[in-house]
Amino acid sequence: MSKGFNYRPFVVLAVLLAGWHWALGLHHVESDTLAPPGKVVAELGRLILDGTVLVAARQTLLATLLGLAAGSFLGTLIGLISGLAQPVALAIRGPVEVLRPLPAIALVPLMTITFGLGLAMEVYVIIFAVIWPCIILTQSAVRAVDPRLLEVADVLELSWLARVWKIVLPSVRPRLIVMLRFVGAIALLIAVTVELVSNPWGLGHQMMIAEEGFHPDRMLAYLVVITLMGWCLNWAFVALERHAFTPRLNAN
Amino acid sequence: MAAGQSIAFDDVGFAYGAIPILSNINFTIEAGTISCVIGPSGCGKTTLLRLVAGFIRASEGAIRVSGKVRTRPSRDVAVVFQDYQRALLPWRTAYENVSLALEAAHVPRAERRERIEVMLELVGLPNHARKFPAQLSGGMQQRLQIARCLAQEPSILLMDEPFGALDAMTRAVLQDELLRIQQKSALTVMFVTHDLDEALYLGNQILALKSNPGRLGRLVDVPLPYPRDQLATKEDPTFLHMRRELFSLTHGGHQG
Ligand SMILES: Nc1ncnc2c1ncn2[C@@H]1O[C@H](COP(=O)(O)OP(=O)(O)OP(=O)(O)O)[C@@H](O)[C@H]1O
Ligand SMILES: [Mg+2]
Repeated sequence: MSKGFNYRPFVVLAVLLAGWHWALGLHHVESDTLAPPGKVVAELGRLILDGTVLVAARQTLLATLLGLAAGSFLGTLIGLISGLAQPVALAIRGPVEVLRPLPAIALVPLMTITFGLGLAMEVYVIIFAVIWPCIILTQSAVRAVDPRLLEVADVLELSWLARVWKIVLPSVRPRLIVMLRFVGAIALLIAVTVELVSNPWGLGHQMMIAEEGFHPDRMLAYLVVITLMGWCLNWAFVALERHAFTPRLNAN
Repeated sequence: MAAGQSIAFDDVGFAYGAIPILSNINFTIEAGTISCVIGPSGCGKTTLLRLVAGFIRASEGAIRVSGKVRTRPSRDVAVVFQDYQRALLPWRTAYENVSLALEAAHVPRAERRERIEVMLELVGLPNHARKFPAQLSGGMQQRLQIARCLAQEPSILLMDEPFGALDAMTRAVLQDELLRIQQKSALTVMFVTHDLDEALYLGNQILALKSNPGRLGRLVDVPLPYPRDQLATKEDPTFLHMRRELFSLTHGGHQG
């Protein structure tokens, strides 16, 4: 890993942006879907100043994080219990295999009827998308815990809770953090998709309106914001991961 | 530390499915003694130890600890695993690894500190309390595992080739530490080893297993006095005589 600031991606980005600007300028394209980067930046500035983008971003982020938190908590809990108790694993295997392949987005109409449009519906769809990979990944992480450590727990007659808390959870922690990064991306994907498809709030919805009102600059400005949010989420999880994988070297 | 308990093997047999691993094991380990189990690789030494630990149940017969049939692991029987790297919690410091045994026994937090320090002192790791297992050498890791096992205050200590992967120097030091601790506490020790010299040096009694299926080859008492000494004991005529006598039994096992 290089220590200095890695500028290369930004150079590539700058070159692409310049190319984009130049291409549009050269051909005097008046497009409904494309706008030069200058206009996009100006529009983005305007949206930030009048606050619309912040409101929308907060809505999308809220739904993403709530869905992610609830879905991954439930999924991890179910994965832990079923990973430790074979009968539970067998009991839930059928339902999991039946429900898991169902695309979460297909639940939007059902959830809309049940919960109406708004935050709750979006969160439930995200939970549904996130919970299955969490169950499966946690289960396999628990099964990969070194049997020797479980024998240590047996010899010490640790209670079920102490066993989970002191042996199993620390063992699976690195895998759970990777899992979180993985399902974090899914959560944002689902949030934006739900907003694009139906839910009248958040970045996805704003982008939809901009597109329908023939405002390519505004649409692209929202795209930029969504991309930035994706980067930030990923960056947060990578930072968490790095923190978790760095051994605590407090030698005396 | 709790006084030792006896371990009685009453016609013990064990099979993995249809494959017999151990059969007709009959012998007794007296409370407060050291019994060493030797035998060729794959003859079932680890399996025998795991039966006593309670990780697996005998298919035939029974193992009795102070008269009670053994069915599951318990805190009064500590196990020193051969693969010490895997038996320590890598996310806990040496101090915290020993602490695990005390937490399991619900020792109040206020009492833990002193007892952990005593244990680390006992195994010669007082200056490494804040290090993680990965920062310790193999010998230190094994000593740490022993410290945790002793912190458990067992009456029986089961050891599976505990010093097998260590260099000769460390090994001799740990053998002497084990003898010292055992003499002081009257622990009952069951010690599995590949090494005949080690078995003779440590044991009150030697249990030589034969392969296919694992069964009792010979059971001999070692009449050497304690405390034992790395030089004097190993030059003792009794030691040399027994060594010669048992040599063919262990080494012949590889061909037969
Ligand atoms: N889980 C298992 N399933 C089936 N057979 C097994 C299993 N574990 C061990 N065995 C068999 O049991 C026999 C005894 O194994 P064990 O590990 O007790 O030998 P050992 O005397 O400890 O050998 P070593 O000195 O090499 O450690 C071996 O033949 C081995 O193949
Ligand atoms: Mg073995």
